[in-house]
Amino acid sequence: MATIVIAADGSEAAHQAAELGFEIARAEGDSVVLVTVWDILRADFGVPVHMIDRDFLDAERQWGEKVLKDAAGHAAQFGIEAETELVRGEPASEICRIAQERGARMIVVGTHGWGAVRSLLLGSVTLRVLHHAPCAVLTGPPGSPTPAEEPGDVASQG
Amino acid sequence: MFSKIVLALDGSEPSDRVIPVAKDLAAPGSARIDIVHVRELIVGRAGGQTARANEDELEVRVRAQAKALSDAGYDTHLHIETTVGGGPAHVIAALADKIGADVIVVGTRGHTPVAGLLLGSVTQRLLHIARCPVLAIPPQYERSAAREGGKAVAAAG
Repeated sequence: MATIVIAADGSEAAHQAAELGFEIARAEGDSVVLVTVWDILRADFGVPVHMIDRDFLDAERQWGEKVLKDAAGHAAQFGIEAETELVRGEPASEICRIAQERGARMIVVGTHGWGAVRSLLLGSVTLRVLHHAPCAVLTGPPGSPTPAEEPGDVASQG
Repeated sequence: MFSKIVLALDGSEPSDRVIPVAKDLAAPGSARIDIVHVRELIVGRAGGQTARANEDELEVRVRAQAKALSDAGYDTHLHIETTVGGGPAHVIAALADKIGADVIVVGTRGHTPVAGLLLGSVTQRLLHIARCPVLAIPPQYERSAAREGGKAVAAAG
């Protein structure tokens, strides 16, 4: 039995990717750890950290809790009793750290989350996870992106 | 688990790590594994030549990997494709589309000639254009290789 770490950020991409992860876990009898990383930087308005009040921090943490709770409910639909980890920090590092600690055989991430640039199909968190992962990384599925969501350079590349 | 797997192999070391992972994910008995190896041609003043100097050697290795999977009982299909001026990712994605693959398994590199770009450019592009999930295996991943399959394991065990 192995462990699969699934990143949850409340996005549709992560939701779809998680389903794949759940299916694999169910087929292989793997255990699942759901990870949500929250940080004030998620909002990214350039607000200095010291100016952010406690309520704002609490709201962010509560957002994380809700995302994680939803993800656990999603796992339950697949008959999986997932462990959950809510951590604060830089998402990619935290996801990789947890995968390392758990000796995970796979990390599952969506191809893009809630990054500021929605047109960037491949999220920066996903890219960073791929760079630093101690194990295999399953991304996707990409769903059915509208033409507007596809990177402009793809069409021109033969 | 997966019944149609596209395995992108370039004959280099990370690919050797990719095979045991593909085996892990393959639905026992019924899985079809399509191996795709893309020969990149650079066309210059001297005419066409392969982007990698040791292309023939890499191809021999991929053929051996395909045979090993086939001998292990997997319904293995080998596709050796040629592309001019780059674009292996498109070749891989197109094949995955054609056969309706469940997943594309690909190795990533520790580094590329492009400074600072850790992720293989083929893998990165694949993540953008593939219409099915992509499983990327980083070079630092060795667990599965130790578990089953692969020549290295046979020699060690």
